[in-house]
Amino acid sequence: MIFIQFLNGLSTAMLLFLLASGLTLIFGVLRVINFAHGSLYMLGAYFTYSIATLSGNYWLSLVVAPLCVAVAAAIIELLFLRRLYAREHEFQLLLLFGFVLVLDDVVKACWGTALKLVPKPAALDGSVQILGRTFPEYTVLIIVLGPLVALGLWYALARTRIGKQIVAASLDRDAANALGMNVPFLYTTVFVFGAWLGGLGGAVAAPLRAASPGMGMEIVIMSFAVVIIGGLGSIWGAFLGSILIGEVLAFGTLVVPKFVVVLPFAFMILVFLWRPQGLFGKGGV
Amino acid sequence: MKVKAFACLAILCWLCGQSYAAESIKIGSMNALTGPFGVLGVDQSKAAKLAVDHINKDGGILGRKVEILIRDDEMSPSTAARVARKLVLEDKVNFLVGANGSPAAMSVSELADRFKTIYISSAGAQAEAMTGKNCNRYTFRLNHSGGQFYRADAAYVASNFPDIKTVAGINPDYSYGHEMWEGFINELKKRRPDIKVVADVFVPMTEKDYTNYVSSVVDKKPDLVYSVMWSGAGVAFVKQSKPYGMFDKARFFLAAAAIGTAMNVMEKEMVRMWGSEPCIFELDNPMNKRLVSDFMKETGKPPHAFVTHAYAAPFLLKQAAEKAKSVDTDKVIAALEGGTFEMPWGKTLVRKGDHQAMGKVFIGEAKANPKYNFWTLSDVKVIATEEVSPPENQTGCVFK
Repeated sequence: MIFIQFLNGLSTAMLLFLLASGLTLIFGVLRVINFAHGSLYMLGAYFTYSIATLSGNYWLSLVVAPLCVAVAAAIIELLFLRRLYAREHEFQLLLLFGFVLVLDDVVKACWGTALKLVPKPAALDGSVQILGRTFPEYTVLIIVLGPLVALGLWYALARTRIGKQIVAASLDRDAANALGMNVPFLYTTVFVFGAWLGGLGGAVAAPLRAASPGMGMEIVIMSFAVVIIGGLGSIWGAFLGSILIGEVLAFGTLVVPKFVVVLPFAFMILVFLWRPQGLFGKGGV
Repeated sequence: MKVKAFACLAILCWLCGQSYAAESIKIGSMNALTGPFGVLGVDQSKAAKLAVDHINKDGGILGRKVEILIRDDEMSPSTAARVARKLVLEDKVNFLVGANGSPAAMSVSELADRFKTIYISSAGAQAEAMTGKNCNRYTFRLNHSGGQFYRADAAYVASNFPDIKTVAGINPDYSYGHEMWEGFINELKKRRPDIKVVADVFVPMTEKDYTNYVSSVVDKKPDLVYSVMWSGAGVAFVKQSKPYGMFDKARFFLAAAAIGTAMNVMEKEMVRMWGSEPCIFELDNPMNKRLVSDFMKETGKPPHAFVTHAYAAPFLLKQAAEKAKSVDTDKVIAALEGGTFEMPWGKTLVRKGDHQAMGKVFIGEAKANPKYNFWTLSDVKVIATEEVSPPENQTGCVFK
């Protein structure tokens, strides 16, 4: 029972991580708090619904839907956000919050307000036995996917040329620019990649939670808590923060179900008092 | 001569057009059109619109055209109050109908009392207080009260599942969920004092991820699980808890109209369970058949859950107004009180003492139906609500 609940917590955690890693990456490099991240997650879920029902193949939608979200993010960055980097943070926040409202209405206009159910892929529709208890196969996939994404991110940032450039730009964008790096290009890349992660979160979540307008808002608030706990801009911080929040939710539900709604935020405040910069917060990626 | 005739005709048309337009009867309809409960609310709005179209085709109410104003209450008490106030004060509606969820419906009911406007609560708000201690002269409830459902559910469970010994509940964490669970258990224990409660879990209404709650129910290995998780919440819950083995051993009872949405939305992903419904679409009478065939034409699916009630509400007003020969508020109230009306599920009494309508409760097992691509209730037992309602003088309702 305790182990199953731990696994449940992990699955919540890994879903949160897909969002939080994108958020923290975008903040680390662009210094932009991406309010619209939840909306991109929602778009990911809806694209998954459309592609999966049209093609009948969930795996295809898992690949294509996040790419569609990335394209949407590229449009947001290139046409709108880019013009506001030089302005105060408030302008960026307003713009991104505007996109939250616009994307919510776009979703309602395109897909309607009814709940959209995405069937699980047939291969993972069943259950496995873990310590004599029934556990969904699909949830196992999510638990495996999270660490893979974390490792991939770490590899990309620490070992590839563009990754190193991103880290450099996040530490000192003026110096990076002076050294001949194409900083605007890096910004676009990071924003689009972060959005892709959010879209991937949506695509993974779609068969688990039905797609509905407004689905992004709650999870983005929870992801902000994760990012603050882990330290703004830190990938491993987001990873650890996700696991902490996921498990706090899982065991909180078991022990004090009445207070589970406030627990993650109470936990966030505790971390904040103890380490205002977050567990892994230093400033850079 | 010809010119004169035309002029006369034109004036006549203008005159009757004038009076027809000026005196159209307005019904203000509120439902949650957005959010996870939009599944139900959007369909209810469509059904209410369909009812008004049908009424107009048949000559309106007292020969006057009916107009319906459809609004989103977001299932929130504050939005519902704002929308209802605007409908009454600015749009000058004659009647209010709808409002999803008891908190929203109760705030509309309060407003109806303040502005002396008849409100037919028809969208599935079930809090007992609405036709109990918080009742008022202007509010009528066409759909069932929660008490009618949980008493019927307990009676069904006690007589149909004699072998169960342990029961668990998983329900939404607001007044309705608590009221239903506690009511069901009390009623069940009256009939089966030996039954043990092994888990009672409450889930916040805003929750989207139920996995954390599922284990603590499945782990107790209950014989029966009782739940009133409704609309989108019920669908998401069933979908998420299926691979945890929730439906393998326990008999799962999805009560109070929640099962209809689940059968409708989940199609082939549906699982074995039992449930209670306020109406079933297979009923064979002209009013119901007209609703079902036209609703299916529009949406491809039969009306589920309280959609039939949303359709019935304008007809209730029509029948009451025609009985009163007026749309005057006091006269319509007098006609509604103690009156019997022709509804899609059969003749229905509206009690004078608490303004609660006496519909029927349909309980059965969800099974795949070869005729459709979705599941339907089979082996349906029909329970008359007279048997499962508190007596008229014991509801706590006193009209001022």
